[in-house]
Amino acid sequence: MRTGTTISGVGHAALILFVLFGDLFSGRTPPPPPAADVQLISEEEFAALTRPEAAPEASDVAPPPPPETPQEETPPPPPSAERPPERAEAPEARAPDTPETVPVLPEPLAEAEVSDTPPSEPAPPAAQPDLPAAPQSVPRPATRVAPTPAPPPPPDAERAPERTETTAPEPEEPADLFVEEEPPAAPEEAVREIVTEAETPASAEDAPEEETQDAGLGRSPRPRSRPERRIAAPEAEPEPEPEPTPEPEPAPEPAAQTQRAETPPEPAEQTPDLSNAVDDALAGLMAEEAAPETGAPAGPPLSRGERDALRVAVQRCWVVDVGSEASSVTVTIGFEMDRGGRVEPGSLELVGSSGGSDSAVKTAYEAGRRAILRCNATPYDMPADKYEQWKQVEITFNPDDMRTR
Amino acid sequence: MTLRSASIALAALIAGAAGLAMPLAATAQDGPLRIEITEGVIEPLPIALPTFIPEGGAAGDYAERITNVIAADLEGTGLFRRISQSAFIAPVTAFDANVDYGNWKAINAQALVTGAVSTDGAGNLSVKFRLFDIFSEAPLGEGLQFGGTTANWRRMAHKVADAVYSRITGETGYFDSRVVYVGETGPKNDRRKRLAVMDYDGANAQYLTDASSIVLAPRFSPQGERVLYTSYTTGFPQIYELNVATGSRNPLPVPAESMTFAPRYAPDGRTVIFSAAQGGNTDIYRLRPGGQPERLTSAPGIETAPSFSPDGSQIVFESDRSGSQQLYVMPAGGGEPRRISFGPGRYGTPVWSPRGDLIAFTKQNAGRFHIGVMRTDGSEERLLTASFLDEGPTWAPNGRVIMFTRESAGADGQSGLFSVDISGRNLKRVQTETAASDPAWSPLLD
Repeated sequence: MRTGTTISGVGHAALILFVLFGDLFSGRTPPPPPAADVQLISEEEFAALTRPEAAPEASDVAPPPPPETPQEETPPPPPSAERPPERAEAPEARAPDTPETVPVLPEPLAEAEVSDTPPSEPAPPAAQPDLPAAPQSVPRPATRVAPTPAPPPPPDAERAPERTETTAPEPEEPADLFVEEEPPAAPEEAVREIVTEAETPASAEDAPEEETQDAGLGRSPRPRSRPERRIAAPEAEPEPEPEPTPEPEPAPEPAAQTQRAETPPEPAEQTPDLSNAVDDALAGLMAEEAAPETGAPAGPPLSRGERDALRVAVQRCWVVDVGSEASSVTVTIGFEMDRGGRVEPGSLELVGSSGGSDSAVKTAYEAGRRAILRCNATPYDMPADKYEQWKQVEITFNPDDMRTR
Repeated sequence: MTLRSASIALAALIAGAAGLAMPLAATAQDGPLRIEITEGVIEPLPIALPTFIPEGGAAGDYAERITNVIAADLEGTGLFRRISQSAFIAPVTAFDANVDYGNWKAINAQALVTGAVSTDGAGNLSVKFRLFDIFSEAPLGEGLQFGGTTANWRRMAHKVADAVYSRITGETGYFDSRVVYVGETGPKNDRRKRLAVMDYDGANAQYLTDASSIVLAPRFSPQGERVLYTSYTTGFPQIYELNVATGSRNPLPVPAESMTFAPRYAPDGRTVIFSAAQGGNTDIYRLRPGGQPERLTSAPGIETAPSFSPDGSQIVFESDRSGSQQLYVMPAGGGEPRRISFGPGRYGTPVWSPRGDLIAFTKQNAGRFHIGVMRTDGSEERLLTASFLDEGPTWAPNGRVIMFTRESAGADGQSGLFSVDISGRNLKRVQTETAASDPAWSPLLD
């Protein structure tokens, strides 16, 4: 008996584990191999290859990516932004970026132009003087590239291309929302920090404009999603872009674009891999997307981007008086919205609070209520098809971080 | 046993597998959408404050001036920003007119203050105001009316500002208050010092003593009608009590041969604590009405600058018993002191906040002076200022703002009064007619 059941138990366990994880591993392993090929190319090869074949292939590559980008968001894997730059995977990870950027930025246009330019013009050779440097240092740039999203890069001209990429992934879903909301959020940050005279008095008020740009960096966590979708490996070539940038500095942005245009040609060599990889990526993404949607009963759940959008929209109207007693009170305010994203003024109520005297709670509640109503002057931009998910809202205003900052 | 454990293990495995296999779809919510916001903005609240409406012939001038003082009070806190009247969509023409909230929302006003001023031609002035919460589309409290004489027009403006401040922030105001300080004239090596008192904003300054002898460290009584200060009239420091209304003064009834200084009232307004130096040893004494001085400290060295907690149960003071000047807290009746300052540098002149939650102090470290605050147990020390010489903090009656002395470097260095919010923001100079030092804030006036 005992042995029988034990064996049975172990057997079942093994089976379950195999079913669960066997699939997982098998599903993800394939993509990496193509990536390895990419890195082996030398400068000369690269240059040679790009010239002749660039034009036709680029056109193939570019089109597929745009559709993908909007769908990406839901599967955020663990923060892999810092993954080893040296590995061949790093370039792979990059690949998805380029496609993603396409939808958000005016880049689709750029790409269209690109495909035309290479064939007709001698442009590729001209640009190549720059490129030679790029391929050599390919691995290194990756390291620099990965960290860039986090710390604010000072030189705009050089990194303009990179930055656009980073922003691209974030807006995946509510692209418009983010673009609009980031600027307002930035000034908050500038003001948010209290620099007393005792600490180094920095002119915080001058900063807002710069911070708006940096604000995008705050989203660095989102790049996580890239690593897993390495499938698009062949496109990895975009990485060379960062390197050439030092040279193009004099002619900052235009140069960067031309380079990008050139980059797609490289994949041309690996066309077979590429197309497969792209297909795989598409399939994977669509599978991932489909999963969450099917499960939700009352319409799909709000994505994190959609939740963040509402959070950001309200917090930029939340004025905190950090010296007041109310700044030690956390209040939760409930309210309802109509389908247009307008708050029902009569529905606002204090759901709960912690800390502080009654008058401090009242003051904290008033501040929160003002925030919700004031920023609702233009209705909150919520996804109409998920109305059931945000019909009722409870927002907790917690000033602890601001007070102790 | 084994069977059981095996089956349990199996069940656990299956359960775990089920949990793993459960897709993210489980995040679909059935309650309200819950969001936590931890980052807001620190910025002044935009308010609309149209010039008060004059009702009656001669009221126009006062209406203008009173409105300006209210605006200066509110904006001076750093918590409010007055919206330019040129941005108003429709002018406010009558005190009782209905408020069109849409017009005020459009210019992002969060509060609206409307008011009217009238005079009776016999020197009497009346000010009334109403406050509206624009985004709630409702009045914020009842309208209020203040009556007084034209000579007191500034105080009436301060009272309106206090009411507005209090209703919006939920805390009491501090505008209708006064500050006693030492007015200084002459060069640094021959400084003449006189006691002076002024409105909190520097207006209506008047002198309480002449410059015949050096005066130091005035302190208001809890009701604001008397002032304790140290004078060198007799050649060595001695404590006097001065009646602000009559100008009469009397030395504190302590043995005349001792040097006494650093006095402060207890919250009851009758007990006084002070320091007395005898034979190189300075200790803290308590003098209760009709009694004899009681010594509260006994350590060798210098114990001075005592200050009561607002409930009168504890005293914070400075002492060098540890070898460097630090802050200590002891029971009001004396007893074992507890050291609360542990950072680098020297700490002095501690003052307990009227709210009771903080202690303000002067800190000297690395060649600079700071005004700072810490919790009453010494935690959460924050330095609010830094300069060549900052010292002598005093609390606004609501415990929200600190005023102190700042002196500039050099032979022609001047001392002046500054104020800073306890958040460290809104540092600014308080305008005084002459150089000034040693400010002490009064309670809110009646």
